[in-house]
Amino acid sequence: MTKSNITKLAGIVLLSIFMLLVPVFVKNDYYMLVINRLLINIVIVLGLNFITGLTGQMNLGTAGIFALGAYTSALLSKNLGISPWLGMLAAVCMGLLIGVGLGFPSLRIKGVYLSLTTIGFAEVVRLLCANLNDVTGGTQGLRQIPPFSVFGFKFNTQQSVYYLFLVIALIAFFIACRITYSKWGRVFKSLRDNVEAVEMCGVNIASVKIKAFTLAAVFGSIGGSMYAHYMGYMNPSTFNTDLSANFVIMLMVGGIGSVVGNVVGAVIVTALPEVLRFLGTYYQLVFATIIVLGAIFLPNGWGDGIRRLYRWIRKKCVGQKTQEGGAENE
Amino acid sequence: MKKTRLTAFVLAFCMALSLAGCNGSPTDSSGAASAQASAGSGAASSGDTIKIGLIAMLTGANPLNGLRMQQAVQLAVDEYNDKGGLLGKKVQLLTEDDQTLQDMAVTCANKLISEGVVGIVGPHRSTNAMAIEQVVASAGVPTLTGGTTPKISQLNNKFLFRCRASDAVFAEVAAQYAVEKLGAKKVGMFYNNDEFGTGGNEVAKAYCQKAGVEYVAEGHNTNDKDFTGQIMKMKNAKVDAVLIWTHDPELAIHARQIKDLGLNAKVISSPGITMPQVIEMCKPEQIEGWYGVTDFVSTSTVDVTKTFIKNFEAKYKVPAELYSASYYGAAVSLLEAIKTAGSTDRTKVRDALAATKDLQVPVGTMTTDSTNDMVHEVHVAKMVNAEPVYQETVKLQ
Repeated sequence: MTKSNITKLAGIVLLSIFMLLVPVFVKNDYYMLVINRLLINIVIVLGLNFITGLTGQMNLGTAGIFALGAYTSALLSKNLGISPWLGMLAAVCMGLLIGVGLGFPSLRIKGVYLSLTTIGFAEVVRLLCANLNDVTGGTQGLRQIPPFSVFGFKFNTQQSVYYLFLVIALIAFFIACRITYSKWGRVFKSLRDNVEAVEMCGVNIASVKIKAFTLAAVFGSIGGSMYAHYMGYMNPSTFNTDLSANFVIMLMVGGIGSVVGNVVGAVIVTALPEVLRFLGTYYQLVFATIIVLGAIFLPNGWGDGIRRLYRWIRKKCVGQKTQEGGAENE
Repeated sequence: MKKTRLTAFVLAFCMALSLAGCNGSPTDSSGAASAQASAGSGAASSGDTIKIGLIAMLTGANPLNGLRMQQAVQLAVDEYNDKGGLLGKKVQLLTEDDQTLQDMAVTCANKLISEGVVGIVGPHRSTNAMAIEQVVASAGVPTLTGGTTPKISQLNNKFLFRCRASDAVFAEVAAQYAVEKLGAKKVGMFYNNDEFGTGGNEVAKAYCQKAGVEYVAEGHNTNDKDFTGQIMKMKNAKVDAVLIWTHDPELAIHARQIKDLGLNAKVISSPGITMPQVIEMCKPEQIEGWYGVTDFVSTSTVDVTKTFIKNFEAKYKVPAELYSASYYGAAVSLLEAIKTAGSTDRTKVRDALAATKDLQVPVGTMTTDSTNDMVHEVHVAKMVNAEPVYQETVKLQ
């Protein structure tokens, strides 16, 4: 085992201990709520990264995916009395359907037109949820959605939900990592950079794009299912275009295409407004300014900024020796 | 590169300015204090102040409404503090912004609860109130919302109170006024086919059946532009009074067509007609003599309301309106409940709120019933020269 591997392992162990101990130190329900919302956002942004980050297809319809996942899971478990886990499974199937359904039109349209189509999709979903009164509860929303449970143990405290969501988010993170650094991930990236060249190499572009859409939709639907069973109540006004834009902002702030960047972006966009709440009515203004400043000075995202800072610190501390190590880590 | 630097500089300047503005504004100091207080324990009544929370939409789609809510609740708090506070302590208001979003409302409620507020005023939207319903119930924090959907009464939540009249009350008062005061023998109803309209129609129909008055109803949809068919049917039915239960744009079109088609009946409308946005869409002669049922009339002759309007305008230099009047009342009832309970124990305050009886607030008299609805009366205003003029307050039996 090389030295850098040991450092890495130690880092992972420390991080896991830290993550496991969060609820022990954070007794305040408000902080736990923000952390749990953060974990949901991480799952969704990791999915969005496949299509918008890696493949470069601007998807502004995440709210629609999120809503369909949430409503599928919530309605099935509430009305048919099935376990929320099966509801989540149904949400995954819904994600597959959306992925194929959205992926096909995306084969023929690009750029702004694709963005408009995805916005249209999200709005259609929202309006359906608002107007199918008998099924979705209409604008008054859906109440008493059962929480997740395992063998009679209900995840109904902020702390227990944290552990559940942490596990889901970690699984999502590892899947995202594996896919990004696999053949799929590389094809996704090449599609963003030069479609013609990829086609020349004999890659089936249609199937790749649909794969990317499907991954985004499945992650988004899982996020929706988590949200529904966590909140216990939802109404269609939540799933508006602002929400879709918010996910894209998370992606951009963290660093487009980077899995770690996704996590960083979700953390910043979810937690920063809460941190800034002490500013009273000005917090939104300050938050927006910080984000724009970030976009100017850290065009590759805050994730990249943190990595550069880390390297710089290491260089200062260890000096010449890490030159090789740094190269290895890239 | 120069451009980038310039943009960055301008943005940084903006931020610095907003920070400075934040420190200067007196209403926001409570927000800053709340952040420091958040490190404290979660128990209510800790320290030498009594904290009450407000969830308002200070940013997002309706920031002005949220600002009025905050101003009104702050006014109530200041009035109590000027009189020496409550239980020998000063009252402190902690305001959180929910952006009119459901999950933000849940976040705000959790934040306020962890900061140890005795009770929460807001959120305004019914849907947001339903989103935080479970949170406040499990934490046991009395909460006063201004959402008007009748569904809130069916939640059976001990801790969620409603500080305005329910939509059902409005419709029943309108029908009652038509029959009892205007002496209508045959009542017509134009209703929107959505939840608001059909809800109103059901209530008015039930009232007329009970009162033994003939009742005719005609439905329409949101975004309909022509109501000639419905109005002519109503004309042929020879109604004495007609109720209109719909939203702002449809209401304005009704006003024009009823005048044009010559439907001679007394008109009583849903609250929209007393609001500036609808009045501006209509010509004064079209709505002359119309009646509207509403929470709040600026020309009210009730003493409490008159005093509130005067104080609010003196303090903030803007006219009082629906939002400020409703939430001033909510704040007063919460503070009175703390006083009556003689304690900041949340359950005791809840019990005191549940026992509220004949408390005069700008939107009417508050008496809590078994479903935690506090207001059971609304005001009737008559449109005179495009100005709602207070007629009387109608209480449901």
